[in-house]
Amino acid sequence: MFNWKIYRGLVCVIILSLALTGCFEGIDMKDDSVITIAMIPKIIDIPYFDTCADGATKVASKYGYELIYTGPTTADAASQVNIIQEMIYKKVDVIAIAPVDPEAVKPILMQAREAGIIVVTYDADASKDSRDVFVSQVSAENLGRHIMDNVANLIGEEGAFAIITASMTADNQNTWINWIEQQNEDVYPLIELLTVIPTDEDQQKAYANTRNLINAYPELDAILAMSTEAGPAAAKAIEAMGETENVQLYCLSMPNAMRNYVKNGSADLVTLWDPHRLGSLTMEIIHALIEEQILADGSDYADFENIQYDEVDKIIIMGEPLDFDFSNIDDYDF
Amino acid sequence: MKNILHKRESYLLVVTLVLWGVISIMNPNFASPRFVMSLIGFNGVYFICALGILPLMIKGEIDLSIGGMITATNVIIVLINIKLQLPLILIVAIGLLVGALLGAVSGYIIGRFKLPSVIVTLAMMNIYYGFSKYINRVMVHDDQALPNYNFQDYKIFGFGIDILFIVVMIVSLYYLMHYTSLGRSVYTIGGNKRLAELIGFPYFSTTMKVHLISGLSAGLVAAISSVTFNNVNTTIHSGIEFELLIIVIIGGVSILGGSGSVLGTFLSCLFIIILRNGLVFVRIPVFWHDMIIGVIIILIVSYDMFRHRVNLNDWRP
Repeated sequence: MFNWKIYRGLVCVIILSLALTGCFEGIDMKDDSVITIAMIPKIIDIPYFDTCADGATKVASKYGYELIYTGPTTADAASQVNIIQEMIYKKVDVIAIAPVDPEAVKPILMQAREAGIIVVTYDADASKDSRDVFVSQVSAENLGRHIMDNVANLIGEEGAFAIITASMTADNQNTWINWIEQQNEDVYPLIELLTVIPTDEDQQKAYANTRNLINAYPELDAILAMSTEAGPAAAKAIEAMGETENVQLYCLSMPNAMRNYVKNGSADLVTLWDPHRLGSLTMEIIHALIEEQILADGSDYADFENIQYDEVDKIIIMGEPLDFDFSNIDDYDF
Repeated sequence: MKNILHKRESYLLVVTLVLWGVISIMNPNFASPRFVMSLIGFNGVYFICALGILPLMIKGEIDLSIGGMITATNVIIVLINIKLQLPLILIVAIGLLVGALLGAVSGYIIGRFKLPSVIVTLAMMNIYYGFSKYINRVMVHDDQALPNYNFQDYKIFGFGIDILFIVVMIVSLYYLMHYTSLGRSVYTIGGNKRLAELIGFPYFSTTMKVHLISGLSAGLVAAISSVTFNNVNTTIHSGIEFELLIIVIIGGVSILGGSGSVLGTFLSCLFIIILRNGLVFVRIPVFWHDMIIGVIIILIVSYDMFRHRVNLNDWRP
């Protein structure tokens, strides 16, 4: 029945390949002169994080560091933990990570720090004691309040809106939503936030839920799509339903992905920072840490001038968000 | 009469109608037939793929590579289309062709070497995702590679083209499972593999064919989503394998094979979609959604088990 020859062959191949890769890793490890940096995004192969990595790669090659860009293929905390484990085993010098779930990566990041690895978070934060510094794109408070102001600009001082977010455990998105709610309460009491719906970075879910929202809440004036993947899908849903006039769409997304939708009117406003700059700044901060510079508020790092630093929480803040609409979206390419 | 009431299909139909009624009372916007049609349309991926994996589930196999096949086919479609800008019908044809090819690969490996389908399709899933991500990184740069198809503008008898795809899928699969030798051998092999082999049902060609069907459905979905979203997204439909497993099992398929029906799968798909999307309509905070879905699934499956046990006790002489 069973073809034992094939099984035996398979086992041989597996053992051989394990041995071979083991050997290569052994060779890697001997070379201590080059500083290796592991960059681990939430998901690999989505434009946002890949653009970040492009920025990081340029700076890394400027300083002669070796950059390993690797990450989970779905926004999965468990596989991110495995990747960190592998990087500790490989004895990298620095780990730059955008955690999927801050709690899930906390123990393994502590372990990495005990092994003498510098841990830097970028884009999303881990808990404060499990990393050396967090390179934040904007301060959460600024961004949240900025977003809420823009929503009010779009729909007026009275109305209702709903949020489509990445996932319910994404730490940065949740913090922004808290600040959005805070600004809503403080300044725009007549605007109602109807609901928050996660999409797990899946365009199909974002598309379906945008259509559900528009059908379920007739009083809806605006949808805020808070993830780079959800933005285009939500715009497509609004375009398909012919609701471009009645429902305003405001996205946190990349200008390239949203360009056609902003031009045909299905999306009205896009906000983001420059992920390329975020990647570069992360790498400049890592360089400063390797050189044992002391981070201080208002310091300059290569091209980055007067960067804010929160010494209590150890957070570097890159700057103000950028808004893109019909008039200026062609000026940006990322 | 009693027989009809005791069937899984009629029971699912009742539960679905009750659910639809309750949600419609709480939010009348859900009741409109036009919305229900569009709901089925934009969730077409679940209908098409659940029906696509039905034959191989009845045969006692599992396909974990379906999400991977969708992504790989999607990438290939976009790759071809960046240069050529094909019409919609050709995109669907390419999708079906590539999907069938990918399905045939798994089918060949499983059928020829008699390996467990869980392991083979798990491995294929990784291969497909790896392949798609590599191709996407290396060859696809433009975010909006496809021409802007207005998928919703293609209408047949007033219904969207996605509804048409679902109907075609249901009819052809019903015919296949009930009126062809393939259907008979799928049910027999699923019921008793050794017996089926003794009788002389062809194991290899049946395995090839059921995986071909699964591949076809993945290819069709890939074509639909690539023209719907006009871009490549390698995270789209990730985790769909497990949602499909839930749908198919609620629809009456035994995980060990041998039972299951086209109608049951369709109804359970409808049920899950009404449940998932209806929760947005009744304005329940999203934290509760997954919990509610889990509880309802357990209730349905355990009620069914319980009833079966009672029935068996009745039959004891």
